[in-house]
Amino acid sequence: MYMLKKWTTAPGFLLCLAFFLSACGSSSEGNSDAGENEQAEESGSDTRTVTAENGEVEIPADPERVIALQFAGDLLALGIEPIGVDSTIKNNSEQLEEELADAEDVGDPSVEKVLEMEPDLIVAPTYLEENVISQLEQIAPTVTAPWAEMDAKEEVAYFGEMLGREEEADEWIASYEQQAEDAKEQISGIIESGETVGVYELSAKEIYVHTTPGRGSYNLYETLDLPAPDLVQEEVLDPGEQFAALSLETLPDYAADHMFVTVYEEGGVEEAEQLMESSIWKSLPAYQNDQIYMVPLEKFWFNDGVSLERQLDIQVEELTSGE
Amino acid sequence: MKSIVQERLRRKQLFFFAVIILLILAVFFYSMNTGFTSLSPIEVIQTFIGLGDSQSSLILFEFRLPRIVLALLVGACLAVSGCILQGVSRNSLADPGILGITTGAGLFVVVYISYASSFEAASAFTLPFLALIGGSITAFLIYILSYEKNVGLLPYRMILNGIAIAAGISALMTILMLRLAPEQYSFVAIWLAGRISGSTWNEVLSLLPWLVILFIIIMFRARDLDTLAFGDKMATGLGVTVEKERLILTGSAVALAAAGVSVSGGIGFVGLIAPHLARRLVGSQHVMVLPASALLGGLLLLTADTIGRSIIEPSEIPAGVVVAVIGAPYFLYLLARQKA
Repeated sequence: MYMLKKWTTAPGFLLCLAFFLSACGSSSEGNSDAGENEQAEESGSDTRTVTAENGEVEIPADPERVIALQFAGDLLALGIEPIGVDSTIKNNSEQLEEELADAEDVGDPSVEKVLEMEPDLIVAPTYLEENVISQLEQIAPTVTAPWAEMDAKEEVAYFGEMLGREEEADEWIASYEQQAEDAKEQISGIIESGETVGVYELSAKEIYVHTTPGRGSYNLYETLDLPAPDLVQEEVLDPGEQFAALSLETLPDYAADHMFVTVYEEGGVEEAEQLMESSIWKSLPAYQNDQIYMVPLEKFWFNDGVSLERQLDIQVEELTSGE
Repeated sequence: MKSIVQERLRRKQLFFFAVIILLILAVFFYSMNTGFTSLSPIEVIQTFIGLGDSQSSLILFEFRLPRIVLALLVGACLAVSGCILQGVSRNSLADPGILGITTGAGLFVVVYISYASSFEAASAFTLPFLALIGGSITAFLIYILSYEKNVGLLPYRMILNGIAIAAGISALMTILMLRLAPEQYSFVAIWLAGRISGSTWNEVLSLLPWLVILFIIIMFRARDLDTLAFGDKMATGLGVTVEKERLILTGSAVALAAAGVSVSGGIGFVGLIAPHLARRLVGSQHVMVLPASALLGGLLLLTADTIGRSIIEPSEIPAGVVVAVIGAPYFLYLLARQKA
């Protein structure tokens, strides 16, 4: 099935190793900020030293074979198409399906698969185990970035600076902000003052209310600046929690006037249907005003760069569809 | 007469040891050849003697070999731990998993991941330590609850207490895990399922001294373990300081289990099956059963991990799950036979 090109790749691999070793060597020297450009002293090829969460790493100036174990949407926003992505992204992101059609599934991750892909840069989240990161570092220059600490705009800017694509980052952010302005205009007549929006997920056992950044809520609360229901604001948003579990009985207290709802499929579809037949559900103001918007979870799973942009489109479409 | 019987037994034991070691070697080489990148046996041998290219040596020496060695070590730890627990509690159903030691270690890991300020800090050094504390506390609790004054340790009570405590701890873990973010949740879930993926030489080096030192201590007490099988009164009559020996042995068993669990997560059943197989093959003397358990445990886990990592590439099935798939039917078979 898979072509083996061991003998021909040995020199390329050695080169990567050389980069990696030289990155180690230079780490003691100084404290250059992320994105600061340095010319490589050896092998004629362009590299730059960047500061990532895992220290200073020497990466190719223009990486071509990038494996993204997270942050795929951020890299796409910068015009970088990963050649390999983590299983979760590959299997769950309908939003990025098109761009990632050629990207291979590297497992969660399988280091041998990653090695065979011959990446020249690996982008990983900090939550990966130290061991796995140290194995990845032996394959190719690896940069780790904090997970779920920055919002999408910050992430795109972070990677733009790190990978020398500040321009692309600025462009993307500007276009996203423009999109947000347009969206605000479009929905201005639809959400009346005092009306709230909320993001909910139905699973087999519980109802979750999501707050920024999950399930597209970042778009609603941060970008469009729409208000959340009081209790959600007080108990979830303000303390910085990303989600909270609700029971059906307490749902009316947390329900918004406009509700975006996803269904967690594993064992949840039937339960969700039952729940939506219940009298409590049918008594929700959002239900009665036809302001419940069912959206596919596969499109709202990830919150990075390009995903967010497309989620905003869907949200605006749903909000304006009733008019 | 007697010497002929002994001679036969010894020959049989030697034969089985040789078979087990050969099997380990076979699986070892098979495992070296198996993986996402297929390397032919010739390439493996070339790489071993230093003639392979750098990619092959990276795969073999940094990705596969540490993992294989670790599977052998963890399997040995759990099997020896189970063997001792079965001997001390005079109960053939004892095993670090069933006695709640694994679960106790798991609870501490979950608590740590839930409340640690930064998730990245879950390093190779903090997790083993926490697992050891969690396992020890659970074992201590079970020990106290199962001890009856003047009678000694009650084997059946030990099992029941272990199950009850494990159930309580599992419930606690579920509550904690519901609050975790998806990434943390999947980390914990995989950890609890038991996995040896992403192993490096660091883990091998951190586990090896535990295993060697504890195994030597235990081998010196193999006789006492035989004697304890007769019950506390008889053992006391035979000159064994029962409580002291039992404390040392149980302590070593807990330390071994916790050390194994700390690097591999919740792998059950190895500690149950390996000693049973060992007793069948080499008799009941612990001088023989202990090393045989260690070898069989290593063999079992290595086989399970090799299956787990080659069956749905590039993803993996945690080794603990594969072991459970093999182990559960065996456990049921054991229970059915005990009734009869």
